[in-house]
Order: sequence, then structure tokens, then C-alpha cells
Amino acid sequence: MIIALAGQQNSGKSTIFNQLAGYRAVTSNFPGKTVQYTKSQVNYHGKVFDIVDLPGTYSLTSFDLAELESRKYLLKGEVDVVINVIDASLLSRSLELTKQLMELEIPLVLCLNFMDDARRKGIHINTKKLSEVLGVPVVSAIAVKGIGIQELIEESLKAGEQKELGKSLSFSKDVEKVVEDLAVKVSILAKEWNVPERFLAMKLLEGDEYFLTKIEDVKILEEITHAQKILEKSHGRPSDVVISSERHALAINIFDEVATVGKLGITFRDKLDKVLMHQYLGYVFLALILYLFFNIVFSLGAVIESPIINFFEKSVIPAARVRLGTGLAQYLFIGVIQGFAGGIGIVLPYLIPFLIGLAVMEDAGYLPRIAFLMDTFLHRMGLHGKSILPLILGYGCNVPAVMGTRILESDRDRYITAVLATMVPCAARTTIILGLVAFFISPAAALGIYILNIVVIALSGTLLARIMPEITPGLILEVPRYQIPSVKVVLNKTWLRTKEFVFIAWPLLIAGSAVLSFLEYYKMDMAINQILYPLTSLLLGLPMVVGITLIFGILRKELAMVMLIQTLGTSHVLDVMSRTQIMTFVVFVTFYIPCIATIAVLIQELGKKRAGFVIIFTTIMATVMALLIRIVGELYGY
Amino acid sequence: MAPGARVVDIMPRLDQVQEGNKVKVREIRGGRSVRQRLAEMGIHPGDIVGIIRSSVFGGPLLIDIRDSEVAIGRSVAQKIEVEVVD
Repeated sequence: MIIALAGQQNSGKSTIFNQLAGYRAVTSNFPGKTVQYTKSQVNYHGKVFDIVDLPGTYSLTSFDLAELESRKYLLKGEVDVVINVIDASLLSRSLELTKQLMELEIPLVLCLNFMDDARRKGIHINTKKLSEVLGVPVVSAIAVKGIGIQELIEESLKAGEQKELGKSLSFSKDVEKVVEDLAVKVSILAKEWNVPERFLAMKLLEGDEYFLTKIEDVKILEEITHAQKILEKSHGRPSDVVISSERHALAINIFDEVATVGKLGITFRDKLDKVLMHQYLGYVFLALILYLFFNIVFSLGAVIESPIINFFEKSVIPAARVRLGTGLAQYLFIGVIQGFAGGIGIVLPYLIPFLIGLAVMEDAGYLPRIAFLMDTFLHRMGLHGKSILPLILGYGCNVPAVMGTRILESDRDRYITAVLATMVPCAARTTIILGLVAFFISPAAALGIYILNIVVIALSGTLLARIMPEITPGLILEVPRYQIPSVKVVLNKTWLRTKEFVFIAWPLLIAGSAVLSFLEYYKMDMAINQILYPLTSLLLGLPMVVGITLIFGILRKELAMVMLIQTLGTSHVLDVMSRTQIMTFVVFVTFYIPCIATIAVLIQELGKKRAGFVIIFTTIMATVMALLIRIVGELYGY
Repeated sequence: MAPGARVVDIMPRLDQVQEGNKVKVREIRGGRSVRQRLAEMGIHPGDIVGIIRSSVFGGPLLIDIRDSEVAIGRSVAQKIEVEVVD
């Protein structure tokens, strides 16, 4: 039996999933084309079944990639029961999704989560009556405390066995007639696509692009337009508004029938939002919170990093040298070990604390507030507030950041944000900035690079938005309640994002290291230095030997520094390079071509052509910025 | 009123309403995508929404719609015609 969890974002779906999966046998992640969903095999008192956690969806329309993916999965016909998780304190809005899910004609169990919150808000829900009105089982739950989980499992199993569908809830007469008439006309298509005909008719009336573009028969298309016209004429509004308003009215009616609302005073949330979302104070706190966040992550990272690096540098690699002699095999082996160590040396210390911190901010409800605050600026650039989230993720690792652009609605916004995300200094680049600039010049200069980086990203964003002058869909984002994050959900999210690094970035990192050893063994570095001479020495005024380090940096960013020290033959970089040269080098490395793992993800997410554009764009940006630093530096005689 | 003058119905837009007011949504201009995304958040013509915050620098609005709070970009708010209630 397969039980799917569906619900709106912030409904506590993930918490329910993790509670259910407490009985788990196996958990695996499905990479859908655009979103991942988690499947878990559960053994509950000897009954074995699968639960699938679908991405959060507000409705079953076809705009959002996640929503489309959820819908496709539900329509595949594999699901035996849908558990619709809803935030009980948002009952009336949530019922609109419930109605759509019921139209899929799959047995449904309604789970009212956050019952305590609803009660605190003065909302009293008669669950028995709700169950009668909808004709489906209703279970109250407080997922974080594990309340209601057993009942939810039992009701779901029962629903799966009995295969009973909920009541069909009708719209007002005239609309209902149009829906039914159209349902008959598209019944052949519905059968062919294995979609309930009423659901299909409704979606067509809503102008659903996914279904509409699949229809080839001109006659049916005419019928659809005709039906849409009837609704438009009789209601004076576009047909999609008519349908959604009907659903809305139905939900409100049900709500009024089963729930009573008391009066509510000023809540903790209101007080906190007065400060955190204040038009000036909000930014002060944002800066403070992010400063603390990065400070904790990187000081924690530094503590863990050195013993790990030391272990590999001092124990593993010398041991390998002794055993394998000085042939190609030794070079390759050391390359692989270094790639492996680089992963452990960066991922464990920096990425994981970063992702945990981010998941905490996300689950606590702060990220949407950041999006709200940043919308003011991003809107000016021609993007909107949600773009900030992948960009922040970029400070950890660009790979999940590029993947994170999927939360954006329009293709153009995803593209621009992905380009910008690759310019954000990730954990690996941060080690270079700290190791070279903060160490040899000054911490203030390092901070300067970060500020320069933000300015350049803002300018690039503005530029790209002008080049692609499509109007951004604009910010529409729910600002959820504040919450104490659940440890399980935070760890789960961290793992999902870490996995993107472990399975995509890390193997490429190791392969890259091996290639580098190969180049080294055959002494190809001289040739590369020669080729890059015009860029490195003539244009940027750097020592010629840095050429090879730039190639290394593409394969693995942090190697640019390691190799720099190695090729210079001294760790006293200041003896051989001026301050200006160090700054120029680091600025170039910060901005130029993303690492090979990021390129791979860019190709996967955006296609080859656009990934190629990113490479060219970032190289130009890096050259311009580095040149600027060189000119300014030499002018002031550093 | 001067003879022949017509009453022009000037509907304020959501972005023009001051903080702290309650408004009724009259029409949502703009494409299907905006309409449906607003509908997903529970905002349809006829609904009453409260303006919690409306920043002066062209930033987004924070509105209150039946117990949930939604951030709405200014460009979206410009597409929503409203009338102020009470």
C-alpha cells in the first residue's frame, strides 16, 4: 500500500512524515525531474506500507514545478490513500486544496495539524462534523508532540482497505452544470490520460497549461473555450477566477459550518514581527542575525577543520608516498586522497554547520521574513524577494544553491538567480579569502571582498534583469508562524542538501584532483602557465606561476590557494607577492568560473548553453574586478 | 456637481492603502498566474484583507488574510483593486 502525504507549505507535513517514518524500515529519496520526494517503508505492528512525502503544494495548478510534480505523482494511479495534512489554524484556506485532492478520486484522510495553535487562536473545530460534511476520516494532531500519529496511521490503513471516496461537493448550480457538461465532452481524453474527468474539466476551465497544451483536437479545444466563455459571461470574471471563487466559497461555507472563531489579542508573533519585519529595525536585526550565523558557522568550522586536514596531510599522504614510490600511480593516488580529504575538510567543518543553521532559520520561520525584507532591493533589481534564499544557500555551497532556485516561479528568475548564486563565495572560497586576505593583509580587507562581492552581484543582477526584461511574477509568499524547529526535520533537510554535495560535487572533486595529479606528473603546468600568461601576468600583473592554480581552482576552488603556496614554494606569500597581487588574485578566484561541480549542476538545471554563458559571464566579471583592484592597488602603492 | 460631470469610479489599489486599514478586494488585474497564486493564498475578489505593513520605499506589503499573513510585492499589489472598509 502506498500512502502519500500532501499539504500546503508550512502545514507541518515534514514533521508528520518524520513521525510516521519513526516506524520506518527504509527511507530513500526520489529525484523527480524537478523536485525530490522522500519515500519511506514503514512497518506498523506488522503491517508494511510505503509513505511518500510530496513537496508542499498550495493547490493543484500547474504553475509551480513542485506542484506539477506532486500532481503528476498523484495521477500516476499508484497511490492508495492521500493524507492531506492541513494547518488547523488555517482551515478555510486549506480546505480549497482538500477539495481539489478529493477530485482526484483517491481515498483521503484529513489530518488537522497544529490543533493546539488553532485553539490558542480561538478557533474551535468540530472534527466529527467536518468528517460528516466531507465524507472522509478526520484526525486531529499535534505533530511535533507526536499526538494523533497512531490514529492517523490506523485511519489511513482503514481508508486504503475500504477504498471509500469522500462526498462530491458541488459548486453552485450554473457552474456545476458547465463543469459537468465539459466533463462529459472530455471523458475520452480523461480515460486516455487516466485522470478523473471532473478534475480534468475543472482544470481545463481554469486554463491549466499542462493539460491544454496536450490537447490536439481542435474541436475539444473549441468546446473548452466555449465553456470558459459561458462562465465569463455569467459571472463577469475570467473563468479561472470563477472556479477558484467557487472553491473558496465552498471552503468558507464548510468552515462556517464546522468551526467557531473567538476573539484574539496581540500575540507573541505580532510583537516579534514588529521588530524583525520593521522597515528599519528589521534590517538591523537581519544584519545582526546573519553576522552571528556566519560567525558561529565559521568559527565552528575552523575548529573542526584543522585536525582533519592535519590527519590527511601528516599521516595518510606521507604513508602513501612511502608505499607507492614516485610513479604515476602514486601521483594519482595522492590526487584522489586529496580530493577526498578536501571534501571532508570542507564539507564536514563548514557546509554541515551552515546547512544546519540554515535549516534552523528556515524552520523557525525566519527565511520568509528575510525574503520580505530583501524584496525591497531585489524588486529594484528586477527580481523578487524569494531569490535571496538560494543566494544565502550559496555561501554554504553553490551546488545546492543552484538547485534551490527551483523555488522560483519563472524560468527567467531561476536563470538569473542561478547565475548570481554561482558568484556567491561558497565555503571553499571563504577559506581562500580568510587564508590569504584576512591572514596576510587584514580582516578588514577580507570583509571588503565580501562587500565588493555583494555589490557586484547586485550590479550583475540588475544588468541581467535589463538584458532579459521580462516582468518578474512578483512576490507572493506566505509568512508563517514562528516555530521551535524540530531536530528531526532540521537534520533531514540538512542531509538532503548535504547529499547534493556528497553525490554530485564530491565525486567530481575527487576526479578533478586525479586529473590535476596527472597534469602535474607530466609537467604540463609550465605549458598552462604559458598559455595563461597574457591574462595572469600581462593583464593582472600576477606572477606567471599562478596560471596553473587557476585551472586547479576550477576543479576545486580551495585548491587555488593550496596550489598557490605550493607553486610559490613558500607559505610566506608576502615575500613573493605584493598586497595588491594577493588581493587581485583572490578577487579573481572569488568571481571566476564556478567549480566543476557547480558547472555540472548548472548544465543539469539550465542546459549547456546557459551554463556556457555563466562561465563566460563570470570570467569577464572576474577579470574586470581583478583589473580594477590591480589599478587601484598600484595607484596607492600597496 | 457641475452638470454633465460624470462620477468617475476611481478604485484605489492595494499598494496605495495605508498601514492598519482593512480593505475588500474588488478586482485582481493581471494575468492568470497572479490571480491563481493569490487565490492559493486565499485572496479572491470579495475577500477582506488587512494591511499590516506597507513600506514606504516601494517594498513589499504584509497583509493579513483570515489568520494567515502573506507578503505581497508592490508590483503585485498594484494589480489589486480594493475598497476601504470600516
